[in-house]
Amino acid sequence: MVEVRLEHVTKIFGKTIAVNDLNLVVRDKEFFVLLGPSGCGKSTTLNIIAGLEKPTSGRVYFDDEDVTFLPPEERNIAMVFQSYALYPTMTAYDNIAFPLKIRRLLRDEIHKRVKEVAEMLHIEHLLDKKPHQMSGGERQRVALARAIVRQPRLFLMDEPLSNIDAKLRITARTELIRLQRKLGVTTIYVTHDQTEAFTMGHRIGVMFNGCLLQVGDPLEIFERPHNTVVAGFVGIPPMNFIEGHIAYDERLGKYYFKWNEIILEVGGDITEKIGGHGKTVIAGIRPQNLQVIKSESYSKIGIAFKAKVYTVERLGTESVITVDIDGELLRAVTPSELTLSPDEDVVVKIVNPQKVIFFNKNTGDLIT
Amino acid sequence: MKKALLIIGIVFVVLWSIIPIYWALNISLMYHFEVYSVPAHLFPEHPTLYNYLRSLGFSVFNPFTNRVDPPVGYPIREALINSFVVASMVSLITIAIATPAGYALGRYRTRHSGLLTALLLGSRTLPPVSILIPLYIIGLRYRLLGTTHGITVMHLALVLPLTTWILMGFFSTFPSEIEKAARVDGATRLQAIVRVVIPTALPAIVSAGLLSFLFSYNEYLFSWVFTSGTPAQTIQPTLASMWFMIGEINIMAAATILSLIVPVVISLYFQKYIIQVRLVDPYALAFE
Amino acid sequence: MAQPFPKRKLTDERFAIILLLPLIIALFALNLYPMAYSFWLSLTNTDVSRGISKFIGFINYYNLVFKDPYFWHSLRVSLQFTLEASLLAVALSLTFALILNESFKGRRIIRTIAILPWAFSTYAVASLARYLFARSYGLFSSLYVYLGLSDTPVEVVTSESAIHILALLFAWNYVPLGAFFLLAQLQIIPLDLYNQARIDGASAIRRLKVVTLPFLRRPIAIILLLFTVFSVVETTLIIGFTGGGPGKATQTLTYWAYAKTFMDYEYGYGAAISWFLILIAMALGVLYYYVLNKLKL
Ligand SMILES: Nc1ncnc2c1ncn2[C@@H]1O[C@H](COP(=O)(O)OP(=O)(O)OP(=O)(O)O)[C@@H](O)[C@H]1O
Ligand SMILES: [Mg+2]
Repeated sequence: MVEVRLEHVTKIFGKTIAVNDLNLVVRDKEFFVLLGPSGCGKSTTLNIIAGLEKPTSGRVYFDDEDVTFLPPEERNIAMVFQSYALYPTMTAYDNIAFPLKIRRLLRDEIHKRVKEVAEMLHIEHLLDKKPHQMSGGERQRVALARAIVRQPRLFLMDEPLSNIDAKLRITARTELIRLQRKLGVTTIYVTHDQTEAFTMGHRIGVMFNGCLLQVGDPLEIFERPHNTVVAGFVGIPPMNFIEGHIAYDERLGKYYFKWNEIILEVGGDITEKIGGHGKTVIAGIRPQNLQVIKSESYSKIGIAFKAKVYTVERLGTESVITVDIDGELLRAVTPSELTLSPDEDVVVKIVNPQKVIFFNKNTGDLIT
Repeated sequence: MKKALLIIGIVFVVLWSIIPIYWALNISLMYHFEVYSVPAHLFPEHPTLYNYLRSLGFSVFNPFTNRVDPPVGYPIREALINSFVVASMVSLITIAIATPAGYALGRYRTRHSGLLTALLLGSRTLPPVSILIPLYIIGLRYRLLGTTHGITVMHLALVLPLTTWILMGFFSTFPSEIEKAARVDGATRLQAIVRVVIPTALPAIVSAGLLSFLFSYNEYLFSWVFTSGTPAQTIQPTLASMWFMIGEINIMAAATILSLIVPVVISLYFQKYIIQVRLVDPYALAFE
Repeated sequence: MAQPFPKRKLTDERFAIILLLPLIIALFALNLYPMAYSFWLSLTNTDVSRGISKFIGFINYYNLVFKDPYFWHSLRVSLQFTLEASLLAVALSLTFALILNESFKGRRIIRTIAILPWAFSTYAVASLARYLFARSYGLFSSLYVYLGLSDTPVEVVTSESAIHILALLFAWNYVPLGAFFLLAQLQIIPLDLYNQARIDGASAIRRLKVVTLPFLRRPIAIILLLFTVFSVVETTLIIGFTGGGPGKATQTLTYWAYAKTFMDYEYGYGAAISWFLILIAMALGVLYYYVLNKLKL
């Protein structure tokens, strides 16, 4: 439908820089997710795309059209708000019909289209109700119906699922995805929930303090986060960071990352970028990449080190084990069948050494 | 023990609120000769609507003097109509000015809104008696005395800060997302206000309008100075002027009770509003 | 190529100013200008009955404070009235609120009755009171007869009692407002707190003391300030009930300002008195909103 392009968009409220020099291209027909913690400027960015706020500087393009100063009503977009923002005095029918009435469509046409979307979203039975007579989930569907009824060229969604209960949220999520694929409308979806971001988005943009730190598909964001901030924000539980140094083994002619008992081979190209032997770097290891093994069943294969169990958190089929290595705490995810108790001596193994990534200690940037 | 205390309390509340009204009602239902009984009668011996009918401009047969008494010489009915007209105009104009202003102050933070809010607050706490003199002189100069529109303008002076203050408070808690949704749905700024914001705010706007109505209807000081003794005379100064009509105490009581009908009806509406936790700023509901 | 940032568009700020314009004009014409005018008047010796009007500086203020014995008399009467009226109104508001907050059959109706005096005009209150307190046909003077305390009706309104009765009438008019404000505040108190206190074995009186009253401290301060402002500027009640009398027993500052202007036609002097009122009322009003804002509602 439309490609959205933001160039050097900045928004300042008084002393707060809500959005800081943001550059972004959202591709046609894409489901793009803006992910970031509360207050990082996601809603502000969305409002700028909608035309509800004017950027302090920078430009917004829809395809090649400069829409920076186009008022929202002329942008032909639809938006779903966190609170749904249904018009309290109107019935569901009138809420859904509102965008069409404003455009002065014929009565019969309006009726036909409202019925169509109501059917699509299974809300025919709600059409006569007012917002305060509906449940949260029902309101969410009506808000969605209002957004799709007039076939806009762009969907903007500001945490539309955060006000409904966990179970309903999962079905709503799949339904949203199905709907977006079917309609093929470019969608920008804002959330602070990474599960949502990872399951729904074609691509994800991670925002922090008004800055867009990284844009990429879910796997890329997860496996190759551009810096320690993204790496630390994305993934549950968060990534383990350990600070070690680079050592050169003259006998083998290879570089190693060394920290306590951990010795990991690193490529020569990475070493060059940080200046070689003796330099300090930060290694990032996903908890999923660490395996905890009982000391007695340990056989020396791969890279492993001794540790002591610190805490065990059971989360259903998986447990998060925090282990203590010389006062440094690392987290690992293990199947819940493995029964461990605090203070038990264990061996921790790095499952896939290739997936360990390194960050520059000073800048926090990923070393590639 | 607690129960007994509560019952005493409830009885006290009822008596306290009712007795003053009851006493005037009691006298308003008496013929003239009964009013001066010693000691005063606690109930009318010959209850009659004689006083009400005469107040409202009818001739009434008095069985005790065997005479048909003419309507009273005071324009009570006209005064009630005048009050109604003035109060209606005041509330409509106030709403027309205060709704956009309250919306602007509650919704947008501009450079001058702090100053304007302070100004509103200052005007709100201005004692009426202290702007009465200058406004009276202005009224003299622009021939506003003795006219319906003159007293309307004076009541606007008193009621605008109050109404704007109430509506500003309302709009500052109004969810702006609803208005944003309307914009994205294709409504212009004005369309969003007219088709979405105003319908949603209607209960608050109506309440503010009714308050201005009641304020104007109840206002005495300006009404006396501007309309007493003229064809534009409203109900409060009429009550006041009737106190000079010695000997017609029972008629006057009927007029007082008649003047209370409008406030009673409005208070029934506000009961709901006032009992819910929406009574946030009592100043907004208080008037001279 | 990007177009330059447009300048002439209707910004939020300009839109807000358009919406505010009628109000701003009205406030200037009907509030600020009259105030300025009244200040100018207070610096003149304008007296319509004598047909004079000359600029005299702050002489009026000087005479008021240092020469006029009535100023001090009125100030004392005002103070007494304000003190009595607002304290009585607060005490009754609290009592009413506590009673109306209990659950009992017919509570809705009792609340409807209790609210009535709020809607009545001050002049109507004064009128009702004249019936109630009249010597010949008043309820109270006759009560003396009914109770066998006297053979003939008694004059209830005397120069000693008049000010107290005025305070009572003020309270009658304003108690519903205070009571319903406190009632609204009572309903915000978390029920858990009462239950906790009950589990801890606190008696009803103790619960009132440790749970209810601490919550009401600021709301009570608010209505106290409110009643103070209103009793300071109260004019209609006095005009309607006593007309400042008997003698000058109920001549408050506001009533005096009114009488000087509209009975003696000394506009200049009246304006000077009213400026004392403006300053007192505004100071109290600002204090009121300061406390109200602190009460996170
Ligand atoms: N109208 C405004 N005036 C002043 N500051 C604002 C305004 N809107 C947003 N901000 C500030 O800008 C920053 C970004 O706000 P924004 O609403 O975009 O965050 P967000 O990422 O959507 O957060 P959340 O997940 O909580 O919705 C915040 O610090 C916020 O306080
Ligand atoms: Mg947000």
